[in-house]
Amino acid sequence: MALSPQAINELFASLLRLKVPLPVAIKMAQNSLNFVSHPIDQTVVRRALHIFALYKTSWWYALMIGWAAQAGCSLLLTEDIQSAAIIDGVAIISPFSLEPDELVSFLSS
Amino acid sequence: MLKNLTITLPEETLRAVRIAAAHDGISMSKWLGRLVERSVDVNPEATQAARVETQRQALAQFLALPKYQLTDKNGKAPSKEWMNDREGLRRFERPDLHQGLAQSDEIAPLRSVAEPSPEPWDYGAFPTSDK
Repeated sequence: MALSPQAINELFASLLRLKVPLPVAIKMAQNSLNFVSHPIDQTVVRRALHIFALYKTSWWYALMIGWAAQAGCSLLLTEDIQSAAIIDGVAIISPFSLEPDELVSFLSS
Repeated sequence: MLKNLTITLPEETLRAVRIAAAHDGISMSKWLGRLVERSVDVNPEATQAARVETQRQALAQFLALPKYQLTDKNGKAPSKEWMNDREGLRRFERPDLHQGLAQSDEIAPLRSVAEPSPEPWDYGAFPTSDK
Protein backbone atom coordinates (compact mmCIF):
# COMPACT_ATOMS: atom_id res chain seq x y z
CA MET A 1 0.00 0.00 0.00
CA ALA A 2 1.39 3.38 -0.94
CA LEU A 3 0.35 7.02 -0.74
CA SER A 4 1.46 9.88 -2.96
CA PRO A 5 2.87 12.98 -1.21
CA GLN A 6 0.20 14.81 -3.21
CA ALA A 7 -2.53 12.92 -1.33
CA ILE A 8 -1.03 14.04 2.00
CA ASN A 9 -0.88 17.64 0.77
CA GLU A 10 -4.56 17.47 -0.13
CA LEU A 11 -5.44 15.72 3.13
CA PHE A 12 -3.70 18.34 5.28
CA ALA A 13 -5.13 21.29 3.34
CA SER A 14 -8.62 19.79 3.63
CA LEU A 15 -8.26 19.10 7.36
CA LEU A 16 -7.25 22.72 7.93
CA ARG A 17 -10.13 23.95 5.79
CA LEU A 18 -12.55 21.75 7.75
CA LYS A 19 -11.14 23.26 10.94
CA VAL A 20 -9.90 19.96 12.40
CA PRO A 21 -7.72 20.93 15.42
CA LEU A 22 -4.16 21.57 14.26
CA PRO A 23 -2.40 19.02 16.53
CA VAL A 24 -4.71 16.26 15.22
CA ALA A 25 -4.33 17.39 11.59
CA ILE A 26 -0.54 17.39 11.95
CA LYS A 27 -0.59 13.91 13.53
CA MET A 28 -2.76 12.60 10.69
CA ALA A 29 -0.41 14.03 8.06
CA GLN A 30 2.71 12.82 9.88
CA ASN A 31 1.21 9.38 10.25
CA SER A 32 0.32 9.23 6.57
CA LEU A 33 3.97 9.83 5.67
CA ASN A 34 4.62 6.19 6.60
CA PHE A 35 2.82 5.22 3.40
CA VAL A 36 4.83 7.39 1.02
CA SER A 37 7.05 5.05 -0.95
CA HIS A 38 8.23 7.32 -3.74
CA PRO A 39 8.79 11.07 -4.22
CA ILE A 40 7.17 13.29 -6.84
CA ASP A 41 10.28 13.84 -8.93
CA GLN A 42 11.16 14.82 -12.50
CA THR A 43 10.30 11.36 -13.83
CA VAL A 44 6.86 11.44 -12.22
CA VAL A 45 6.11 14.92 -13.56
CA ARG A 46 7.29 13.92 -17.05
CA ARG A 47 5.02 10.87 -16.91
CA ALA A 48 2.13 12.99 -15.65
CA LEU A 49 2.59 15.50 -18.49
CA HIS A 50 2.29 12.64 -20.94
CA ILE A 51 -0.89 11.34 -19.25
CA PHE A 52 -2.34 14.85 -19.07
CA ALA A 53 -1.81 15.43 -22.77
CA LEU A 54 -2.89 11.98 -23.92
CA TYR A 55 -5.98 11.47 -21.76
CA LYS A 56 -7.03 15.13 -21.29
CA THR A 57 -7.39 14.60 -17.55
CA SER A 58 -7.07 17.31 -14.94
CA TRP A 59 -3.46 18.08 -14.05
CA TRP A 60 -3.71 16.89 -10.43
CA TYR A 61 -5.32 13.65 -11.54
CA ALA A 62 -2.57 13.10 -14.13
CA LEU A 63 0.05 13.73 -11.45
CA MET A 64 -1.57 11.18 -9.15
CA ILE A 65 -1.67 8.51 -11.88
CA GLY A 66 1.88 9.33 -13.02
CA TRP A 67 3.07 8.92 -9.46
CA ALA A 68 1.22 5.60 -9.03
CA ALA A 69 2.68 4.26 -12.28
CA GLN A 70 6.19 5.31 -11.33
CA ALA A 71 5.81 3.86 -7.81
CA GLY A 72 4.88 0.49 -9.36
CA CYS A 73 1.25 0.51 -8.20
CA SER A 74 -1.10 -1.75 -10.15
CA LEU A 75 -4.25 -0.30 -8.56
CA LEU A 76 -5.12 3.29 -7.73
CA LEU A 77 -8.07 4.09 -5.47
CA THR A 78 -9.34 7.61 -6.05
CA GLU A 79 -12.65 9.39 -5.73
CA ASP A 80 -11.75 11.55 -8.74
CA ILE A 81 -13.00 9.04 -11.28
CA GLN A 82 -16.59 8.17 -12.23
CA SER A 83 -15.93 4.81 -13.92
CA ALA A 84 -13.01 2.40 -13.78
CA ALA A 85 -10.13 2.92 -16.21
CA ILE A 86 -6.63 1.66 -16.92
CA ILE A 87 -4.05 4.36 -17.62
CA ASP A 88 -0.31 3.82 -17.94
CA GLY A 89 -0.66 0.29 -16.57
CA VAL A 90 -2.55 1.45 -13.47
CA ALA A 91 -6.11 0.24 -12.88
CA ILE A 92 -8.09 3.11 -11.40
CA ILE A 93 -11.33 2.73 -9.47
CA SER A 94 -13.30 4.82 -7.03
CA PRO A 95 -13.57 3.06 -3.66
CA PHE A 96 -17.01 4.71 -3.31
CA SER A 97 -18.31 3.03 -6.46
CA LEU A 98 -18.28 -0.35 -4.69
CA GLU A 99 -19.95 -1.69 -1.58
CA PRO A 100 -17.46 -2.27 1.29
CA ASP A 101 -17.66 -6.06 0.82
CA GLU A 102 -17.13 -5.74 -2.92
CA LEU A 103 -14.12 -3.50 -2.36
CA VAL A 104 -12.50 -5.94 0.09
CA SER A 105 -13.12 -8.80 -2.31
CA PHE A 106 -11.76 -6.71 -5.22
CA LEU A 107 -8.61 -5.82 -3.27
CA SER A 108 -8.08 -9.43 -2.20
CA SER A 109 -8.39 -10.79 -5.75
CA MET B 1 32.09 -12.43 5.78
CA LEU B 2 33.68 -9.25 4.50
CA LYS B 3 35.19 -9.09 1.03
CA ASN B 4 37.59 -6.59 -0.48
CA LEU B 5 36.71 -4.33 -3.39
CA THR B 6 39.03 -1.89 -5.16
CA ILE B 7 37.40 1.21 -6.62
CA THR B 8 38.80 4.08 -8.66
CA LEU B 9 37.66 7.63 -7.96
CA PRO B 10 38.71 11.07 -9.20
CA GLU B 11 41.16 12.81 -6.87
CA GLU B 12 38.67 15.49 -5.82
CA THR B 13 35.97 12.87 -5.05
CA LEU B 14 38.43 10.88 -2.97
CA ARG B 15 39.35 14.05 -1.06
CA ALA B 16 35.68 14.74 -0.38
CA VAL B 17 35.16 11.15 0.84
CA ARG B 18 38.20 11.44 3.11
CA ILE B 19 36.80 14.64 4.65
CA ALA B 20 33.31 13.14 5.06
CA ALA B 21 34.70 9.98 6.70
CA ALA B 22 36.89 12.05 9.03
CA HIS B 23 33.88 14.15 9.91
CA ASP B 24 31.95 10.99 10.86
CA GLY B 25 34.99 9.58 12.69
CA ILE B 26 35.19 6.39 10.61
CA SER B 27 37.48 4.98 7.94
CA MET B 28 36.88 5.75 4.27
CA SER B 29 36.25 2.06 3.67
CA LYS B 30 33.54 1.96 6.33
CA TRP B 31 32.03 5.25 5.11
CA LEU B 32 31.78 3.96 1.54
CA GLY B 33 30.43 0.62 2.78
CA ARG B 34 27.59 2.36 4.62
CA LEU B 35 26.81 4.40 1.51
CA VAL B 36 26.51 1.22 -0.57
CA GLU B 37 24.38 -0.53 2.08
CA ARG B 38 21.94 2.38 2.06
CA SER B 39 21.63 2.17 -1.74
CA VAL B 40 21.30 -1.59 -2.10
CA ASP B 41 18.52 -3.58 -0.48
CA VAL B 42 20.36 -6.74 0.63
CA ASN B 43 17.26 -8.38 2.09
CA PRO B 44 14.16 -7.20 0.21
CA GLU B 45 11.84 -9.68 1.97
CA ALA B 46 12.83 -8.39 5.41
CA THR B 47 12.54 -4.79 4.18
CA GLN B 48 9.04 -5.43 2.81
CA ALA B 49 7.97 -7.20 6.02
CA ALA B 50 9.27 -4.30 8.11
CA ARG B 51 7.47 -1.80 5.85
CA VAL B 52 4.16 -3.67 6.18
CA GLU B 53 4.53 -3.79 9.96
CA THR B 54 5.31 -0.05 10.11
CA GLN B 55 2.27 0.69 7.94
CA ARG B 56 0.06 -1.58 10.06
CA GLN B 57 1.08 0.33 13.20
CA ALA B 58 0.69 3.69 11.44
CA LEU B 59 -2.81 2.77 10.26
CA ALA B 60 -3.81 1.67 13.77
CA GLN B 61 -2.50 4.97 15.20
CA PHE B 62 -4.30 6.94 12.49
CA LEU B 63 -7.60 5.20 13.22
CA ALA B 64 -7.13 5.78 16.96
CA LEU B 65 -7.03 9.58 16.46
CA PRO B 66 -10.16 11.57 17.42
CA LYS B 67 -13.03 11.38 14.94
CA TYR B 68 -14.92 14.40 13.63
CA GLN B 69 -18.24 14.85 11.88
CA LEU B 70 -17.17 16.46 8.61
CA THR B 71 -20.32 15.86 6.58
CA ASP B 72 -23.20 18.34 6.34
CA LYS B 73 -26.65 17.85 7.88
CA ASN B 74 -27.63 15.65 4.92
CA GLY B 75 -24.62 13.42 5.45
CA LYS B 76 -22.93 14.79 2.34
CA ALA B 77 -19.15 15.18 2.29
CA PRO B 78 -17.63 18.53 1.20
CA SER B 79 -17.22 18.77 -2.57
CA LYS B 80 -13.82 18.43 -4.18
CA GLU B 81 -14.21 21.96 -5.60
CA TRP B 82 -14.77 23.42 -2.15
CA MET B 83 -11.90 21.40 -0.65
CA ASN B 84 -9.43 22.48 -3.33
CA ASP B 85 -10.54 26.09 -3.53
CA ARG B 86 -7.78 28.53 -2.62
CA GLU B 87 -9.28 31.90 -1.79
CA GLY B 88 -5.85 33.51 -1.82
CA LEU B 89 -5.53 32.70 -5.52
CA ARG B 90 -8.75 34.55 -6.36
CA ARG B 91 -7.66 38.05 -5.49
CA PHE B 92 -9.48 39.47 -8.50
CA GLU B 93 -12.72 38.32 -6.85
CA ARG B 94 -11.74 39.99 -3.58
CA PRO B 95 -11.43 43.76 -4.05
CA ASP B 96 -10.83 44.08 -0.32
CA LEU B 97 -7.49 42.30 -0.69
CA HIS B 98 -4.42 44.27 -1.62
CA GLN B 99 -3.82 43.96 -5.35
CA GLY B 100 -0.05 43.54 -4.94
CA LEU B 101 1.72 42.69 -8.17
CA ALA B 102 -1.40 43.38 -10.21
CA GLN B 103 -0.28 47.06 -10.09
CA SER B 104 2.63 46.20 -12.35
CA ASP B 105 2.12 47.03 -16.04
CA GLU B 106 4.12 43.96 -16.92
CA ILE B 107 1.66 41.46 -15.46
CA ALA B 108 -1.47 43.55 -15.76
CA PRO B 109 -3.08 41.17 -18.31
CA LEU B 110 -2.78 38.31 -15.81
CA ARG B 111 -5.84 38.77 -13.63
CA SER B 112 -5.38 35.60 -11.61
CA VAL B 113 -3.21 32.51 -11.56
CA ALA B 114 -6.36 30.48 -10.93
CA GLU B 115 -7.93 31.26 -14.31
CA PRO B 116 -8.63 28.17 -16.39
CA SER B 117 -6.31 27.48 -19.29
CA PRO B 118 -7.74 27.41 -22.82
CA GLU B 119 -9.16 23.99 -23.69
CA PRO B 120 -8.42 21.64 -25.23
CA TRP B 121 -4.70 21.61 -24.82
CA ASP B 122 -3.05 20.35 -27.99
CA TYR B 123 -0.21 17.99 -27.16
CA GLY B 124 1.05 18.28 -30.74
CA ALA B 125 1.68 21.97 -30.22
CA PHE B 126 4.63 21.21 -27.93
CA PRO B 127 7.83 22.80 -29.26
CA THR B 128 10.14 20.08 -30.56
CA SER B 129 13.73 19.98 -31.71
CA ASP B 130 12.65 18.76 -35.16
CA LYS B 131 13.19 21.34 -37.87
